[in-house]
Amino acid sequence: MPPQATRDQIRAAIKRHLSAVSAHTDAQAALKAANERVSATQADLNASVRDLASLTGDAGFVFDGKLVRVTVPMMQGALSLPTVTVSQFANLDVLDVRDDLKPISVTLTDVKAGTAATTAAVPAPPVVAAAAEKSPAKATPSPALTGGVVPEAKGKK
Amino acid sequence: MTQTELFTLIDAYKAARANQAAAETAANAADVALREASSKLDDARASLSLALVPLDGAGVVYNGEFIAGNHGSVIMRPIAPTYPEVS
Repeated sequence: MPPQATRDQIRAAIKRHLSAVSAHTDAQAALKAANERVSATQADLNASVRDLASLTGDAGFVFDGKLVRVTVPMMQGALSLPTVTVSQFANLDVLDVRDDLKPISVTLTDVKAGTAATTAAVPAPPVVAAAAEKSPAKATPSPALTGGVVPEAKGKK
Repeated sequence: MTQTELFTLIDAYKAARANQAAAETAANAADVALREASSKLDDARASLSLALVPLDGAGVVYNGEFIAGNHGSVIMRPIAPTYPEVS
């Protein structure tokens, strides 16, 4: 039988160990939940991008002087490539919603400096006023939106 | 598609981006917390191992369970995380 002092030390060490094990378990659970949240929000983001891609198509739209297009590469062979590239309007960065989530090329053309090939491929994109970003109600209707209808996309790249 | 619909999509996109960024921030914080907890667990395990040295392998019965002592340089066997809570 170890001395009382030794037993007290062991008892205290066991308590600290149990506490540490509990905290570690909680931290693991928190990280797991956080990672699941990341996956869920990424899925939401991907869906949002796909919505934009499907509704704006190759026509894209003009925002703050920039032509914004959301492109969805077509399937290649039997493999589906659910890659979406969006030139973001406000922050002008790029999204790639492939599973690996790595950034890919930008599809962004400055309207004023756009190449002939690019501008020719874009049939009169609707203009979205920059001020409309904060308040859609204050947006200045563009001529292209007269009647509230934007030409349907002609197809995907 | 109307302009209103376009704005709705843009707003949804921005909200999704913000949510995703916030989630990543939270995940990074959780990762840091786990690393800290792991470090503290290592410390606690080392302290417990040290406290068991005087037993020289004899071990003790604690809350009805046997905990082996520390055999000199040999690290004690891990205590199961399900070890009974100390009252």
